[in-house]
Formats: sequence, C-alpha cells, structure tokens
Amino acid sequence: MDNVSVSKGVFAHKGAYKIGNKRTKFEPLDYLNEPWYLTYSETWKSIQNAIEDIRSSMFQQVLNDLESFVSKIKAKPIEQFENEIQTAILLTGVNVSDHTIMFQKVISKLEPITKHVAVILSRDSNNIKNLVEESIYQLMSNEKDEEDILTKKNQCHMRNLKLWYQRYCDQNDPLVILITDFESSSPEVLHDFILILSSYASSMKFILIFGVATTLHAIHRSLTYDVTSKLNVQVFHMQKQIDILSDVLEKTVFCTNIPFKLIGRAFQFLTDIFLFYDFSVENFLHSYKICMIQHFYANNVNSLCCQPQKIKHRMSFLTDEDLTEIKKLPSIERYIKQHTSDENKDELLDNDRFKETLSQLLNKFHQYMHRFLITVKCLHDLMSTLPNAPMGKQLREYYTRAVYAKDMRESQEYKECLQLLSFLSKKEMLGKLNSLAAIMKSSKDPVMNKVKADLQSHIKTIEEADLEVASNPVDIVSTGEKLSRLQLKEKLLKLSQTQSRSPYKIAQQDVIDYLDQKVFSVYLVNPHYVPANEIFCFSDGNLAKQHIRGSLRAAIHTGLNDPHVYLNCECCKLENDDAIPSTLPDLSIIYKLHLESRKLINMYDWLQAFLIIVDPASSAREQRDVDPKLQARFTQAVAELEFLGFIKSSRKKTDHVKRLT
Amino acid sequence: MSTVENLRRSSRLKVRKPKRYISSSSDENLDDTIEINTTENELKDVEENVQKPVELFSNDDVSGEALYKLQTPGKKDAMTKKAYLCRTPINTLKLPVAKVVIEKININNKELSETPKKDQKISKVPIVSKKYESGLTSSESESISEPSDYHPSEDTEDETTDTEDVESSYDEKDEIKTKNQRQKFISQPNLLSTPKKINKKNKPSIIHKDFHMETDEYFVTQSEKVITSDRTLEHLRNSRLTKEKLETLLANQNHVSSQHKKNIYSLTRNYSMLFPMWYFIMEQGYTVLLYGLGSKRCLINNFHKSISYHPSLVINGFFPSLTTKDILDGIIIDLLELNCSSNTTECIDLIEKTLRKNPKDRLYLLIHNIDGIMLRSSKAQDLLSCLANIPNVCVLASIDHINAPLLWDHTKHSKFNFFWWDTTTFLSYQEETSYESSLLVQQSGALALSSLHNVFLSLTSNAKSIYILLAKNQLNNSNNVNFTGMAFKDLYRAAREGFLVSSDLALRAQLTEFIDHKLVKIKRNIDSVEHLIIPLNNGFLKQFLEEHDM
Repeated sequence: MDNVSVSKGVFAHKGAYKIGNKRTKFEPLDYLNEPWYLTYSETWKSIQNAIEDIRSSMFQQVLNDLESFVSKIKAKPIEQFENEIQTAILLTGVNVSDHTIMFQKVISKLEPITKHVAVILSRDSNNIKNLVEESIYQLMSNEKDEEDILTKKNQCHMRNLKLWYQRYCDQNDPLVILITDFESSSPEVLHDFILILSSYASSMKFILIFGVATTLHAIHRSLTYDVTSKLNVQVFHMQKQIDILSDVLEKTVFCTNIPFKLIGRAFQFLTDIFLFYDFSVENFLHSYKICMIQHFYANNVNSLCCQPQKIKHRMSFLTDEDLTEIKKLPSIERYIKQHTSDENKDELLDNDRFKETLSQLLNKFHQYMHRFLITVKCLHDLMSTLPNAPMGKQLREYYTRAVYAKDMRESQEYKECLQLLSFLSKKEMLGKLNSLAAIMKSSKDPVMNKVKADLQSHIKTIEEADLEVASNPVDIVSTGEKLSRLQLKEKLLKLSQTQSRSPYKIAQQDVIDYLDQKVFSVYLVNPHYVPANEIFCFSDGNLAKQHIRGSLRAAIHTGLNDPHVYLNCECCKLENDDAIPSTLPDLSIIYKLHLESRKLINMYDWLQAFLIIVDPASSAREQRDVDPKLQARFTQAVAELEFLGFIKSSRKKTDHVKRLT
Repeated sequence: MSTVENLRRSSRLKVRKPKRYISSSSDENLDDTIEINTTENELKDVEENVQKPVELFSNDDVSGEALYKLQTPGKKDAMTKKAYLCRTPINTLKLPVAKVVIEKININNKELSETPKKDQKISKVPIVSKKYESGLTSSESESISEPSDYHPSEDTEDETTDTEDVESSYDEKDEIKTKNQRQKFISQPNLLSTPKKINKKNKPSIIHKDFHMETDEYFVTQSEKVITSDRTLEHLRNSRLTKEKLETLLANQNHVSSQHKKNIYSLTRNYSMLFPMWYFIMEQGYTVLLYGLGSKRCLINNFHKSISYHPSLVINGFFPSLTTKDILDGIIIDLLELNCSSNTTECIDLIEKTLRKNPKDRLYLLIHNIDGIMLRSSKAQDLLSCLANIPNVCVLASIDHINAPLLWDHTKHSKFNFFWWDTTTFLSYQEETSYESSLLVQQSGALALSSLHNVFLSLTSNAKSIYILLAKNQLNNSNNVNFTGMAFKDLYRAAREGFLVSSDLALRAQLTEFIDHKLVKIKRNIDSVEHLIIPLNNGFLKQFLEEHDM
C-alpha cells in the first residue's frame, strides 16, 4: 500500500464491503455508549432544536411575503401581466453559505401553491444551454404523478415546455425559477435567459426569484435596460445577520437549558469570526460544535455537564479515577483547600463524601449560572440605551465583557456607564428599574426574588422622592462682615460643597450603589473563578483558533525557524532567532539562509553558504568539490522549499530562483 | 490595534468626559455639554470608529515581517556572511549514526517507543495544573494589554517561556484524558486497529504564535532592485546529480541525527494516537485538514490502514497529471461499480444519490496535498467540496503550500467544513518532490526514451525509416557545434531516394505526426529554412538506435 506511481494519481481500495450492498453489517461505533458521547450528543441535540426554532422564526417574515407574492400572481389571469416576467429579488446578505437552508425553506413553502419549481445553483448557470435545460428539466420532472412524460435532458427546450404546459398544467399555475446566487452567474447568460423567457411570457406564467447577496445595485449593473424592462420587480429583505446572531446566542449560549457554556477567549474568537470574516450563522454553529468536540471528546469528567436533575445519575458512572481527576481540577482543588482544615482533609477527599460535595458544587454552579445570565441581561437592559452606549448595545457584548475580563467592574466603560446612569431623569430611571424588575421576575430563584423586592422598594423611594432641593436660603455675605477676596472665595467653595442634593438625586445614587455593590459585584463574577467551571465551560481560545481557523503559515514558519518547538531536542535550542546551528534540519538551515536574500537567490551562493554551516571542517573559502551527499541534501531541501511555495525557479538569470515571500 | 481598553469597541464614537463634569450635579445643561463633547471628540476619534477584532489578531502573533522581511540590505554575499556568522565550532563529540531508517520506524515501531515514554512520565509529575491557574490571568491579559508594536525579535524570550507554559498545560489535560479512557470500548479490529488509548500529547503540544503579514512589506520588497552575484552552478567541479543518484544518496537519511530521528518518530507516533479522534470528527461531518511542516504521507497512509474496512480512495494531489475525471472515475467505476458519464455534474449527482441511498456506508477520500498543482483550479476544489458535502463521504486531506488557504472561498469553506490540525512531522517530502523538476537535478530523460519507444512501435514502416534518417543525421553531426537540425529539403531528398515518400506533402503529413507526439521539433533559421531536430540528447539517441538495431 504505497500508493505512489508514475502513471496514476488515484488509488481505489475497496474495503470490506461494497457501497449499496444492504446486507453489510456494521458493528456499532465504540464510543456510542461512552458517557461523554451521550452528554455530547444530548447537548448538541438541544442546541439543534433551539436553532431549528430560530430558523423557522427568522425566515418567517420573508417566507410569508414570498408566499403571498406567488399566490397573488397565481390568482391573476395571464393577460394582466402584459408580457412582463414577475420577479422577486431576495436580498439575502453576504453569508452565502447559509443560503442553502433558506432556499430549502422557500421551496417547501411554495410547494402547496405551485408544483413547478426549479432551483438553479451557480454551477448550472455558466452557459445558456445548461441553464435552460436544467430549469426546464426540473420544472417538468416535478410533476410526480406522470413519470413517463420525458426525462431526457436534451429534449428540454422551450417548445417542449410550452407543449407540456398546455397539455398538463393548469393555466394559472406559475412556473417558478429560483436562481440562488445572482452574482456568481454570468450576466450574459442571464441576459439571454430572460429574453428567451419573456418571448414565451404571453403563454406561460413565469416567476423568477433571484437571490442577491450584495445590493440591488448588482442587478442594475449586470443587466441592461432592455432586459430589466421585461421584468416586474419586487424586493424582499432578509433579517439582518447581526440580529440573527443575537437570536442564536440568546437561545444557545445565554440559555440556562443548555449547560455547556462558551466563555473567555473562545467565545470572543467565535464572535470575531462571525463579525469580521463571514457573517455566517452556519459557520458559527460549526465552530461551536468544534469547541464542543474539544470539550467532550474522550473526557468522561465532562459528562457531568448536564441538567441538575441528571447529576446523580451521571455521577454513578464515574470511576474512582475520574473522581481523582475531578479533584485535581484547579478550581475544585482551590475550593477543597479553602474549605478544609488539616484534620478533616481526608474525610472530605473520601470518595463518597466527595461525590456529595461535588453534586452540591455542580448545583451551585447551575444556580450561579442562572443568576449570572439574568444579571447580564439586567446590565444590558440598564446600559444599552445610555447615550453612546459605552459598553455596547448588544447583549453579547455585555456577556463577552463579563466572561472575558478579570473584573468587569474595574473597566473604564463600566464606570462611565454608572456615571451616565446618574444623569438620567426620574422618568427614565423609573422606566429602567421597572424593566429590570420585570427581568428578575422571570426567574424563580429565591435570591433573584429578593433582589427584585429590594429593587421595588428602591423604585418606591424614587417615585416619592422630590426633585426640588430643599432650599434653606443662606446669606452669602452678611452685611456687617468684611471679607478679603480670598476669604470670600473660601466661603463660596465651602457653600458649594455643602449644598444639599435633591431627595431624588440621593435616592438615585442609592439605587445605583445598590446595583453596583450588591447585585453586579456579587453575581457578575467571571465564571472562571467559580468552582467546577472546568466541567461546564470551554474557554481555550488558542485551541479553538488552531482547529477552527488553522494557522498554516505560522506553523510552517515556526517549524522552520525554530524546530526546537516541535522536536524538543537539546541540540536545536536557539539562543536567538537569527542563530543557525548546524544541527538544525537541512530545510530549516536553507530557509534561514534564504531569508537573507532579496527577490532573486543565486543557487551557487546558497549552496556555498549551506556548506559553510553544515560542513565547518573544510576551511576553504570556496568549495568547488562538493561532497555529493551534501549536494544531494541541499538539492532535496531546495526542492522541498519550492514545494512549500517559498521559492520558484526563475528564468531571469541563470541558476537563480525567485523568492516568493 | 492595542488600545488600552481590554474589550471590543462597538461601532460608534466613544465619549470621554473630562473630569469637571463628574462633580457637576445640575441636570439641565449636561445633555448639551455631552453633545458638544461628542462633536469635539468626533474629530479626534475618527480612527476609533471602526470596530476591531480582538481575538483574530493579537499582539503576540508572529508578524509577517519574520517571513517576508529582508534583514540585510541587498549585499551580494549576504548569505555567505550570515553562514560564517552562524558557523558552529567543530563538534568534538561525534553524533552516533543512526541505524534505523525513518520510513521503517514508522511502520514497525514497537521497541523504540519505550524510552521516550519514560522520559515523559518523569516530566509529567511536576506539572500540576498550570493552565487553569494561569489561564485567565496570564495568557488572556497578555494578549490585550501589552501595547507593543511588532518586534518579532524582541519577544522571543517571552515566546519560549510562554510556549513551555502552555505546553505543560496541554500535557496536563491530556493526562486527564488518558486516565479517562475506559477499556469499555467494543473493539472492532478491522475498523480501527490503532490503540484506543489516547496518550498525553495527543494534542499538538505546541502553541505557536499566530501569523499575519502586512501587505506593505511585500510591495517594499518587490519594488527594489536586485543585486546578486553572477556565479553559476557551472563553477562546481562535480556535475549535477541525476535523480537516481540523488535517491540513493538520500536513501538512508544518515544525515539526520539519531536524536532527531527519535523525536521525529515520537511526533508521528503521537499523531497516530489521534486517529480515533479524527475518525470521530469525520463522523461528525467535518473534513480533517492536516497542516504543518513535513511530509504527511506516512501519517495518512497509516490512517488509511486503520480504516481499511471501509471503501476508500487515496488521491495523490501532488501527482502532476491528476485530473478531476480520474477522481470521479475512481469513485464511480472502481468503488461504486457503476457506469460513469462524461459530465462532471452528472457524476456528482450520481455519487450523491447512491450514497444518500445508503446512509450507513462510508466512503473515505484521503487526499495527499489537496493543494496539489492539478487541484488548484477552482473547478477541482468545487468538485471536492461537493463530494465532501455529502454526509457519508469522509475526507482527510493535507496541505503544505504556504498560500494554500487562498484556494477556498466562503462557500467552499462551509462545504468542506474544515477541522484544522497541526501535524508537523519533519519528514522529508521525498515522494511529493519527486515529480518536480529541480534546477539542481539533471534531467535524465528516461521517461522521454520510453515514450519514444512506444510511439515508434506504432508507426508505419515508412515513417519509422524517415525517423531513423533524421536520427542518424543528427548523430553524424553530433560534433558540429553549430548544428541546428536537418533541413527539410535534405530530408525530403533522402526520403525520396529511399522510396519512402512520393511527394513533399506526404512528408509534411508524416512530420506533423512526429511533431504532435513531440518526437521532432521544427525550427526556422534566419533564411527561413526549416530545420528538424529531435529533442533528445545524443546518448539517448544512440541508445535508441541501438535498441532498434539500425
């Protein structure tokens, strides 16, 4: 099984069974009954359910609009359209990878109205023949009850379509052609296609639906006036991607039903990818799943990441080894240290006792998470509407702050927000506090209820508080006194300091202090500091980055520049980045030498430099007779460097290579 | 990029109120002042207006400068100087020559594995839970709060300590995993023969810094004038090596020290511990993409052995005449045993339909170098991504070219659904580079000779004789330096004398056939006389004539 040959690049290995053979027996995969797998699949399933809900709600609006659009056309007689093709333009957004799911939904929504729907993917729309054939083929073969009409693609042309339409179809049924990716299909082909369709528009009802990823402008730019004049266009908008993301996050990360939590750098990384790379919700979910795989794979300890009622059951699967592992988790170790004195140490570490403690801890974590999320929501509610919203407008921004920074309350923005809060008018303040109370109400947690009660009493005091400052008129300067300018200044200063505030201001300051010190400081603790967080939370940003985005160049550069990182050997330890010890792998030496040169590299000089390093024994300044072995090593290393894409042979000068980086 | 603030700016201006407003308590004029303030700051903070990613690019990334920079301003012999600078004193201790060949170690590798394991065991003990303790405080704050510019050389010290730190934390985590591996696995010998145990270090133990380049650097480099020395390889006394010679010289990899061999081997072994995880990841619908320095052929081939139960297709992306049709044919004809149509779209549809019908079956595509020369077209990648998108097609691929990720746009990316994995092996790319024509390797022409044989055998006897006339003429003139080939009219005369052709046109028709098969090249000289030459060196030509005994 060497799989290399000079004449073949593809090698098929049949394996033990043939695809399509129904009798093949598959042994069950060995991880199916592992506790970690059960937890993983359970968690993923609940996330998927949540996402399915979100999807159906987020496409709801546009689907309904499209449906009414198509059914309106169906209701009208064909003469009313005056040979215009009815066209819907769906502004779908740049996240092309999410569109497949959306178009599937569109199709299933349109199915009850018309059976004739053709979906044109971008790979079909590169020439006119393909496009026409494909669309007609799909339109005609959707007729399920008449299988035998015709299925050959080369017979799919417009005249056949017309005959078929007259013979088999209800004259009111529109023929829907969905072109999913407008930008990637060539404008000339579309131009011709629309002209062809329009010449038949008097006898058949066509509906074109374009999926446009950018703006309406794209259509006007690529289609000329003579084509657009044939279209009767209506535009439909999708929900903004950002909103969809916040929906998704709300239902997954910020939802207490799903015990797995993404925190810290990993969360920040995922949202960064979304905002700065692709805006794609699907990709976000894929990355999310990657984090979950990292968290759960072959790690039975993390099977405890489940709903509180299941903890007991899951705990019973754990072995002693697992328990020892759990005891070693830093946050738990810290906890044990804090809560034991020397004499009862053994007692607490006893497995049965420990299980009890552990289940308490896990439950506590759930409680904590619940409170944490509610408090984050409160914080968001309170601060997102402040002028300029220093902490951001989206809930996820608040969550990120809370899980990313060591102590959010230390941050500049937080302080700024508190200060802005104190400038609010009475009415605004009351409105905010009331909505806070409403958020707290949704929780059944007794602690939250207490907070709510406190809050309500504060609201009451504020309501009653007077806006006016109780004025006690003071003479600034009594007539009899004589003051120097300096004395007057001092007196005024004193007065301004002692000037009493209005009762409202006092009450307002009270409530802000209360929220800051009694609520936010208590409940907005970074999950990282809560015992047992390792079981529920994934925060390893580096790991996520390495597997989600990959860092190819960095890996190659590190491998070449500092092989010690990978090889872990004594001989390759570099004192500084520029050193080239002769023990390095050849490729690495070659690479480091090539960094010294400019656009072109002289092979001869390169070889000489290589020899100087590798073979320091021979003292001659220039070696004309090269040990064939060394030459071979050099040759191979250069070929490898070329393979990696660092250099390329060049014709500019004999025996020179071009540097590509 | 490194603002003092730890967290992301949202996309609007920031207002920083001067201190004097803090003590002020009157409500009325405050809103106004804030507004004024806003406009004032608007001008100052325009740059801050843009929201910036935090995690994607961080300060401790490797700057592009390291890879793209020029350290010394264009001196002719910069490399030589550098070499002298770095030249190490002669080692008194001679490195023991390794006896085992690398390729072999990878396959039957039991006995060597004991020593490194012990070392690891020992080093395991003192490492306790660094990751969790330091996780947030050190690694997280570091990436944000250091307001440093890129000075790659400056922070090397940090780099090493940092990596060690993280490394140990990985070990810790993996240790947990090892112990968690229950032996409850129902073993499936022919499906996954690799040991289920996941050792420590099953994760890449390396956290290298991330890498991004600045575009300006590139243009600065490109706009400069090149100065290189005029020496050529002709200065060398010994000639260029032939390919066969090269292979024999490199065959036993003696130049790699035994220490390195051991470490390289243990790297590979650690990666093979990951097979069950890769298997799981592919089951979850991802494409595993291996990257990093060193040939990953052995790794993929070993993985292939572990999934040999399933039908699989191994694709050598580095093979220079690979076509997408080959891949489709391989799947449809060899594995599905169906008839293949000529249209790629139809082929994909067919494969998709068959596989969707049998959701329990698996088809494995193992692609060595998905960035290979023939797979670089967007069409080929489109095809592969469509295949990867089918739920029960599992794809494992490797990339090596530094610009490989540019192959995929968003759509392809999401179809492939990559799970990246750094598998730096440090093995040499022997097979991969064997197809490339290197400057330093003498072109042997063995391939050309055998193809000449094959074409020659299928010619008519007259055509053969014409070709031999040409070849003999070329050999007779082998000492003539100015020989540019046989003139057309000379050949015509000679051919007519031998009753080989009857007319000018017939000869031309013959020649077209030669030219099509690249047996002959046609050149016009200054007087526009056509000269015919056989593009083979004289030694081979002689050999060819001898073999046909003429």
